[in-house]
Amino acid sequence: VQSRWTSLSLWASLLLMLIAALFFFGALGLGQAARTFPLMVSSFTLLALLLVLVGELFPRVEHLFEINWTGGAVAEEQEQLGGEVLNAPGAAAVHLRDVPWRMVFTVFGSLLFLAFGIFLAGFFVAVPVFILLFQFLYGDANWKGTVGLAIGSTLVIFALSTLIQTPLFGGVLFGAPVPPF
Amino acid sequence: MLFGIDLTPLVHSLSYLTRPDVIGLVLLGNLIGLFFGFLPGVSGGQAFIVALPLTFGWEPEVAIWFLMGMLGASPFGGAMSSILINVPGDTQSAATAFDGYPMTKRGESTRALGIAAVSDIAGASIGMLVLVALFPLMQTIVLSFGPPELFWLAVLGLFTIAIAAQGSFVKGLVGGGFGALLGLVGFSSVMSVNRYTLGTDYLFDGVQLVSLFVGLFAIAQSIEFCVSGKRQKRVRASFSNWRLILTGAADVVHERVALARSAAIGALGGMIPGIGATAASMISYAIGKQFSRNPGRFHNGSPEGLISAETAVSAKELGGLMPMLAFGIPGSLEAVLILAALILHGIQPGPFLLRDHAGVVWSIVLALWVSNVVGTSLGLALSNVLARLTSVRTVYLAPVVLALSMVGTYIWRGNFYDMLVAIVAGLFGYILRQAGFSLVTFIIGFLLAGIAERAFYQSVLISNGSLAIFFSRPAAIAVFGITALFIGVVFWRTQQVRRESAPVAARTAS
Repeated sequence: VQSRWTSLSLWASLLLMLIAALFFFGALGLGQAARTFPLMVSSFTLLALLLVLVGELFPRVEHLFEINWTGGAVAEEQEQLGGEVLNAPGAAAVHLRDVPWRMVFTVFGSLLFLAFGIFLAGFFVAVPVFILLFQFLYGDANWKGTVGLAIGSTLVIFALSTLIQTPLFGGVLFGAPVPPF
Repeated sequence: MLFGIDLTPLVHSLSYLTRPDVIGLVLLGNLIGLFFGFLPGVSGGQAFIVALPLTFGWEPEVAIWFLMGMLGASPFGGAMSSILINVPGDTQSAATAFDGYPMTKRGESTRALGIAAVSDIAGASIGMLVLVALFPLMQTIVLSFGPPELFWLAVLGLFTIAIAAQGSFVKGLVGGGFGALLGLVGFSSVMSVNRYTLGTDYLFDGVQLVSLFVGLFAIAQSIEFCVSGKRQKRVRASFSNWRLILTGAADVVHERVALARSAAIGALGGMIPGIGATAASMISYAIGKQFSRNPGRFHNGSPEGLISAETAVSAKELGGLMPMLAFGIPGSLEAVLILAALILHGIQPGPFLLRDHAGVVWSIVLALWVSNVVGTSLGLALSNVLARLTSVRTVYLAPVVLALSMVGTYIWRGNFYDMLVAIVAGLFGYILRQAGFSLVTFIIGFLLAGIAERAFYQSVLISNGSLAIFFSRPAAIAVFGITALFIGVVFWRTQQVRRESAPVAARTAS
């Protein structure tokens, strides 16, 4: 049995709470009239997050927040599908160790690599390299298929940008200006 | 005019179907929707999100016809994979597998596909008729709305969606609140003030809808796809001849009562914000079993069961547009997608959409219906080809979807940093989804924040600073009352379910 302290929902709620608090304090710096609505929304979000946190630590409270109006009507169907299709109340909590972080960050990291590659060398170089790298990182790709896919995808992107007459970013290495932030 | 409906915008929308480029785009959209609907782990909605930014600069109606092509054909793609390989292409097709796959095992896959196709078309047609029949009534209601009613609609609509979606409603509300907070970033035209821009030029225009959309749905779903996506076993030919399709059609005619009941559940149930197609099809299936003369055949390849599940999905697709078209409150992910498409093409959704952009509304309704009919027929004709696609490897599909997502995000306004926002939103969305927070209420909160804020300040201005205006106007009280009643019924029903299940739980525990 895993502790409630390792629940992903608990840590995600804490992170959201921190961000919502930043929004709340940020609103305090606005003028008298302009702050009303942001304060209303951030207070409401903080309050709801507080309830989520209390629910995470006290299962009885969490039970109070669960809505289940279909009840037994679709119970057999739910059971057959492992209770995953409708938001099954009382479904097992996801814990930090249940999340395949390595895979998640491989995909996330490869996307950051793609963005950095686009910044440096533009779409037409970065996209095929990304596809080749992704196949290499992800699994048992067939190299002939992979190269074909990389070339095919680049051609599709070229066709798209030509069709809608929107030039794609060329990359700072090839003379494109650094985009202002 | 016919029954109080002005037909000029309808004729204008129909005229698009005479244009070869629009016909070609609808067919292309259908093919993409079928492909994404068929493959487990991806959905027509994901294809919609990736394609949406690519429609930049198009005529809004043309973009709508193309995008609806994907949404309209996707459910039948999902139904095909449920029937042929017992793996729903989308969760909304899960109930289709209950009876569709046993029919395939009995060697009746073509008949099952025929039943699903005719049920889909009939469900969509009934859903459209219900939707159109309610247009005049909705128009009358929304014309009595002012800023206080709009404010209540936005706020209480979010509550309704969080509560009707089942599971933890507090998490649904957190999603909505957090989305609304992000929606407040940038320059506020209402208060003429910069908010949460961190001193950057980039955030002056706020968090971009395209970035958020692509991140939360396309990238987050691709991460999930990479984590769990597995290759399915290849299936052999599924479609043998048209005569068997006609047998399936005859089954639907024979079970016309089940068809009408399921269509009514899908179309009317879908109008309640928060009730997704998955819930609609499950409820319709369960009710179909209760009313059936042969309930024992359900789950064992019953045509009636297949009709009950599949009809509700397609009827819900059109009927479920009502809250979005009439009030600007999207009640499902599909409605959110359409709402985002409207916003990105410069059309302001809201209660006056029906009055100010009737042509666009008709284009949405017609395009979805036409795509359902054409996409389903196309799906039947291509079922042998699609069946072979079950052996497509995840490793080939995921990077292409991700790369196209990046291209689409960049193309929308040519800003490099939009891609970075999409990537971060993708990771954020994946974690939130795993933690049980609702991304649908998140994006709805984001979309409704501006509407709610404007309505709030306008109301306060009208009433010289008094908040009593929110509780004194009859229409505002009516909106408040109906929503409160709905929420009350859901809580009452939840209590009832708890009482019913308590003895069962106690027996299981002992």
